[in-house]
Amino acid sequence: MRDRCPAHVLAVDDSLTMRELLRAALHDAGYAVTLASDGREALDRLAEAAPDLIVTDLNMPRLDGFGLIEAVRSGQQAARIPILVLTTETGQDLKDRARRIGATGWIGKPFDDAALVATIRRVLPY
Amino acid sequence: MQTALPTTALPIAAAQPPLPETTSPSEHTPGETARPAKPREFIAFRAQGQDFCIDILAVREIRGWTRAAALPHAPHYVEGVINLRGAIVPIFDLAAKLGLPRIPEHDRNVIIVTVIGKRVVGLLVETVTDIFSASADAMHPVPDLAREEAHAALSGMIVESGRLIRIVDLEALLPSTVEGG
Amino acid sequence: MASSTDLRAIFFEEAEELLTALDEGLRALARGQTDGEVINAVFRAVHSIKGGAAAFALHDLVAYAHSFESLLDELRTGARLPQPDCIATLVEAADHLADLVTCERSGTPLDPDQIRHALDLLKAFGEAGPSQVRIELAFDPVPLAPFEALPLADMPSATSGRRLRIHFRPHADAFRAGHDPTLILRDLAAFGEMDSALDLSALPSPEAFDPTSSYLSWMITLHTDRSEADIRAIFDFIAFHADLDLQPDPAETSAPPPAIVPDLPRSAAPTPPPAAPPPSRPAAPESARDVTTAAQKPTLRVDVERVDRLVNVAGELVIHNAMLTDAINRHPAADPHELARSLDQLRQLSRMIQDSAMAIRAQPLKPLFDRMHRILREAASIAGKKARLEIVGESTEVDRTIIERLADPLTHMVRNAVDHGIESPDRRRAAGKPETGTVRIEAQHRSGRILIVISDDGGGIDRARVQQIAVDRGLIPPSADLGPADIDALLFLPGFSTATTVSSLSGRGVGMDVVRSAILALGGRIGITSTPGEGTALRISLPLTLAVMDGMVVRAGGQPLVLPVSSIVETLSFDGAALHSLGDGGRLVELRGQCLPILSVATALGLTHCPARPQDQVIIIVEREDKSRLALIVDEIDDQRQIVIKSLDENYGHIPGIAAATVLGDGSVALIIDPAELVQARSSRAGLSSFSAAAE
Repeated sequence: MRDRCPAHVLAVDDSLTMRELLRAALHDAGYAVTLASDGREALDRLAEAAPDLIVTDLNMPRLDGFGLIEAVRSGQQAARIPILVLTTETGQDLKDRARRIGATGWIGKPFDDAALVATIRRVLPY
Repeated sequence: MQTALPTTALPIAAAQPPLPETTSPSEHTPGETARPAKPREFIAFRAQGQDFCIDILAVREIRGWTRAAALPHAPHYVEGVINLRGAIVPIFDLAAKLGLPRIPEHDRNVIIVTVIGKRVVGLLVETVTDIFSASADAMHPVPDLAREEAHAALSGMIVESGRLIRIVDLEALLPSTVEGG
Repeated sequence: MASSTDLRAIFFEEAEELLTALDEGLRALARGQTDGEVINAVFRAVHSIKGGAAAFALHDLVAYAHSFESLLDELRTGARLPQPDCIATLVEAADHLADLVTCERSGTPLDPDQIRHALDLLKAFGEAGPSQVRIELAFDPVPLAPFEALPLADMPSATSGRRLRIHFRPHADAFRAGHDPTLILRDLAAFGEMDSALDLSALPSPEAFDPTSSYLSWMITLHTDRSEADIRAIFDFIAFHADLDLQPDPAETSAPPPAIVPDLPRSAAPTPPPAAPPPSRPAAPESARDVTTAAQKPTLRVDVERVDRLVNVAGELVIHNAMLTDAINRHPAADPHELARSLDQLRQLSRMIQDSAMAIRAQPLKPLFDRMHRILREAASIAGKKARLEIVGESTEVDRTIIERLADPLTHMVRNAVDHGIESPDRRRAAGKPETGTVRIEAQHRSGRILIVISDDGGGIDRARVQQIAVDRGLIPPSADLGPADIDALLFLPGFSTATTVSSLSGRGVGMDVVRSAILALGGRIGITSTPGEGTALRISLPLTLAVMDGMVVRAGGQPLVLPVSSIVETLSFDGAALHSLGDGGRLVELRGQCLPILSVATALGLTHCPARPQDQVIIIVEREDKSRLALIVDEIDDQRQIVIKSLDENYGHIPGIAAATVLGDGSVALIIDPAELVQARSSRAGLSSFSAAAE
């Protein structure tokens, strides 16, 4: 059905449950998935995984989502890769702060699979 | 597990004596198990000159004799334990359990490895004679005049080609003293 | 693919870890560590539980976690200070949260009163309580409204609706935030009939051109029946990085310019192809070297079964290695040195594989110990006592099976320490002790085993009372003359309980005998020491793993047996030993002024098979957990080697004096002797402790 290799998503969340939910939803939608449990691990994986998209939580230990966005945007690797942040509906200020430093968009938490995929399709052509 | 195992695929580790050619090739196929009057298949063997059998579904494999390591404080019919591909498996002397003399040590003895509940247990016997099938109406209760030990360890009898074959009650073989684990 | 039940299981498993982290964080706060990261970690734990709960529509849990989180947020932002009363509330709230998780996990209906009480507690604290509770209703999984209705493939008819003019000017930095304007045009085109004119006027001269900047803008005419809000929603992501004008089309002013194809292929986006990973980051060796940040190393979650399989295979490898060695020794080859060398290497490799396999299973005791804080808190609150828990050596690692099976006995011992050990505040004050008693759990590695000591600074064992109870229950004759240690050992007798009334803590007929059997089943030992007025200590010694140990292969009663090397003190030849005969056939060996009882292994195990001549026999001195020593007689010593422990319980059952079995190099089975039980097996078949000999 897909005539190229599936788009690769790097999903970053410190919650194992969230990571597994993301993995399941993204797999079902046909994406290849790499998981990381915080910003630093995500940066470590970035070169190897060469993702087409990063989906990241904001509040994480070691390196939070803002730090991750700043690091990606100022790095060499994938500076212009789309980055979607996971935020709750009430996190408007967090959302804006993330966008100001370079988040491409956001995914409301809790997400359902259809919404997640629809959102990803807004920033990834396939 | 071995429900669908064709009889020819029974791993016979040390195939002495070879199973007789007359072994009834079973009509047992996996799809047929639901039929109520389906004859059960048994594996028949000898211990201290008597014929016994157990349901073939309980048999995991048949091995040549291996010396068992003796277990302290064990009931008299417990031969000991052997190493079965890394698992420690107790060996029971079926004859001794039934109140007969112990089976004499002989390197032609055979161990029938069976699964009883969750436990894997080996039965020490003299020879495996054949595999046969019998329907429920061919099975008879154990006569009252049998000794008490036999009563406790047998679940019935079958007359098959002129022989009286005792059906061993595998559950009853487990020593009650060790059941808790 | 993970099913939703699997995911649920993961959620609950993670929730347990988060609750532990929460508890830990709150304790750090209570100790005065109120820095941002501690507060943030506490916040994150609750937040993650809320997030996961929302995903599984566990509304009560979400609601409670949300209120909890709001209070924590005030701490985080500095709106509230971590005062002791605040922390106490948080600790209680954490317990409620744990209860809610437990209820949701087991599917037990939540007690509405309890939830209300718990919420009230939080509400009473935060002024904004009631309104916060209402907010959670927004936490039902709400899909992103604008996009759910977004028909990506549909082409609505252009007959109805209206015409809109959209001027869309991405900023120069739009690409750098990961935006791709062509995707926005694609989504917009799905809303109706669209014409777009590309404005190239901002393009710089080729030398000034920066491929990472956006210079294009679009003038779009859209004929659609969608609302303006729907259309604006398409631009919401890029809103910070683009200007957007949206107006009704003033009649027919549409300009037919060279239009850009709405569905531009992705390659047109200025994202560079993924670069090859730079060679400067060799991840593996780095992480292996990095020991200082051990707590933060990425971990791998693996199905326990897979690890077990690896452990088993590693064990088999060790056995087969030994078999190979035996075989080669029997048939020496041309170059024995070379063979010996490569065999030695194989042995080392096998052992390394085995060690790493075992290391995978090893886990720190910390999570288990941390759970005891709550146990202690609850026990103290029910008993009306004041107690605190001190933990030492929580990073000690043990096989996970042991940790799992240690949970119940440890819980019981901590409860016991509070229930029977620590005195009431009044009595403590009267005894000149601080009102708050201390229960201490200490773990350490000691000579290939792990030693765990659970001690309290309570009143110690009331020995007169213990002995009286044992007499009353017919456990010992009234005339029994018991030493203090013997009396303490009575506590381990089946059915013994010193609680005069069955309290809700140590009720249910569970006594120290259950703790003792649980420890014994793990191949462990338990001992008790007590000083009146000063406290009681339970010492537990456990094997590090249930899978391998160093064993000395001996021969007794005509068959090979294994003695745990950890219990062996020394070996003596029989004829060199100073033996003394006792009148009743028993014998003693004198060793550096100490007389030790002699026990024949073959006799103790009931193995009577061609005994070796006494002068050829060997004496092995073993030491038990209680430090008492014993001289065992065996026929000969074969070898000392690492052995793989195989369960006898699985297919057979427990045998007094035998810990387990192993498979030797020739494939035969050898039983592993349990020196401590061996004595008991002789002195009393019932398996009671050593006092029974004295009592008779």
